[in-house]
Amino acid sequence: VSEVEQSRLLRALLDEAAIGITWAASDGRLVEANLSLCRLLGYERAELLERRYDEITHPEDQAREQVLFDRLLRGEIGSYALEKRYLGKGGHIVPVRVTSALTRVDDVLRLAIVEDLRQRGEGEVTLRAVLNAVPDGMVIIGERGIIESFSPSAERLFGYRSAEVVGQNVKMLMPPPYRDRHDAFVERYLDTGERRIIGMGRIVTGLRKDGGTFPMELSVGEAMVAGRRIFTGFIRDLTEREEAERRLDHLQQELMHVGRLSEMGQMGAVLAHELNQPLAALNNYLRAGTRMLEAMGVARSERIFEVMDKAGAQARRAGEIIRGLRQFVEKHETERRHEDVGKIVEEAIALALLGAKSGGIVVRIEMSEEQLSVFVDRIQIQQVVVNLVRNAVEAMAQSPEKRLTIATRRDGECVAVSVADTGPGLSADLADRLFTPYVTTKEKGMGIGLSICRQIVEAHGGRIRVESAPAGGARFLFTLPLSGQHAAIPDAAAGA
Amino acid sequence: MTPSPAKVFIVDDDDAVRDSLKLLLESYGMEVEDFSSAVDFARHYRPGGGDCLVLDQHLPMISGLDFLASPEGAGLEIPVILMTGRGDAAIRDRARALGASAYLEKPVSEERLLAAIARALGHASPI
Repeated sequence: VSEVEQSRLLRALLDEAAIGITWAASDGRLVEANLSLCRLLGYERAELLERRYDEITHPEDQAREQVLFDRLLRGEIGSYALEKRYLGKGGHIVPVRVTSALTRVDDVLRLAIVEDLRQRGEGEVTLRAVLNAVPDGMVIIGERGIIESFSPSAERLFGYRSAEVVGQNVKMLMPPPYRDRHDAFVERYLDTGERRIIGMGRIVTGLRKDGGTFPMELSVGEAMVAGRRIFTGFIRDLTEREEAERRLDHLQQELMHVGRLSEMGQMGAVLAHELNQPLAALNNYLRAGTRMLEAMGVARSERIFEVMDKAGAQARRAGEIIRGLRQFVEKHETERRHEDVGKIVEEAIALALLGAKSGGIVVRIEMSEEQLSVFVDRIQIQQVVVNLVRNAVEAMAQSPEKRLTIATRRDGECVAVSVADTGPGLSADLADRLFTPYVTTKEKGMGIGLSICRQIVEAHGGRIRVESAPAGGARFLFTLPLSGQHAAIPDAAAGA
Repeated sequence: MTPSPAKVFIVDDDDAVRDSLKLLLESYGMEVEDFSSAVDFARHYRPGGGDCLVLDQHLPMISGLDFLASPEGAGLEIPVILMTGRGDAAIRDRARALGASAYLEKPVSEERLLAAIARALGHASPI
């Protein structure tokens, strides 16, 4: 076989090899490349041979490879293997594994054997299909923070196409100030091995292509793949969940505010009544005393009458102050709107169970299928529901069976809302007095909660009562007039 | 001139309120008998024994209105003035339905109380 023939055979062999092969001259020019590499990068052979080795290497991988190449040149190592990225024709990124060595002919030639990392076999294809089906977004980055993989879910979450982000630094998905710190975070981890986020979930903010941000739960894992470190990030969009929580948080604050106001109001009303009695007596005594002095024949000009009158005026003044306080408390009209009972009750249940020690409780919610509209102050009615649910949860603390049933149903021209528990229940005697202030079954209770509930329900034209639940325990039930009725006589409750 | 002073019953559980009211009405020349509960009053009351009842709503054991609804209360043939510290429309309506001649909210002024008693006794003025 002639030398020419031998050369041609060798050439064919190289071209048909599944791996890419290239030689670069010491100045970086590519002097030879096989067909596989041309296909991999999308160049005609002639085009590729006009490029330099650093031109087909991703800029961010150049320095890393240069370090290894210098060691090769100095004879410190015989070869090196590196996972890196080439740039194909048009700039697309081609992840590859390069094994490099030196061959010396006339010049020093740099031999690079190139494996395409996009085809790692069927196992990976399956894995990718699985990962693509996960609703969470998945982003894989290399140890320099460069995005290597961007799942379809991630595309939906961030609004980027995979092609737009692969090869870019992952920090593009973060808003400032995280964006500017990420490289330092990764570097510090590589230096110290100190884990701040890897292996644990964390709630962070993501940056969409359109500039919008969204709350997300990020779980980061670390893996070694073919001797190379990668980080996997799983991303769950928290937009909806956070929104719900924020709303509940807001509601809870409103309720606490109303709660304080109501307790103050209730205490004010109790105080007003209690003080009214001695003031009324004082007034009566003063008037009776005055009349006794007259009956005794004391002259009206005596100063004693002036003193009695002044005392009476001050007693009446105190009475006016108390009357004012009571009117303020009672006429504290709140915002009433037409509301869907189901919606406000559901919201209140979520809120009540949010902070409650509701472990082990089976909650059953039976909502009327009919949409029931009431004209109410939403916050106040929710306060009633929260109060009843919390009481029920507390009542079942020691019960072996913990079932909480909350139901809404139409009851004539009213809607009835009930909260039933499987706690110890109430004695008939206590049930009668439970809605009056300062009556409580709790060791630490003020006994104010249920009296406020009654005040709120009655101010809305409804009734509240407690009965024994069919399954044992207590069932609290309150009614509210349906909107239609209320709309006809809008001032019915205000005038009461 | 009336041959004998009008006799008024007062039922109120607050000692000071009851005592001061008694003194005040007596200073207007009325004869007053007081009780701390409706049960107590019912036990002592005899038909023809008095002219008017001033009844507090908030009482121990049985409330003023519940007393009026009971057989003893319904059987009273004297006018009843109901007083309440925490009144609302429901109480007022029920008081009317049970035949109370007046409904007064505490604190009750001397003038209004005397006017209500005078009306109940069929007089134009209290004395």
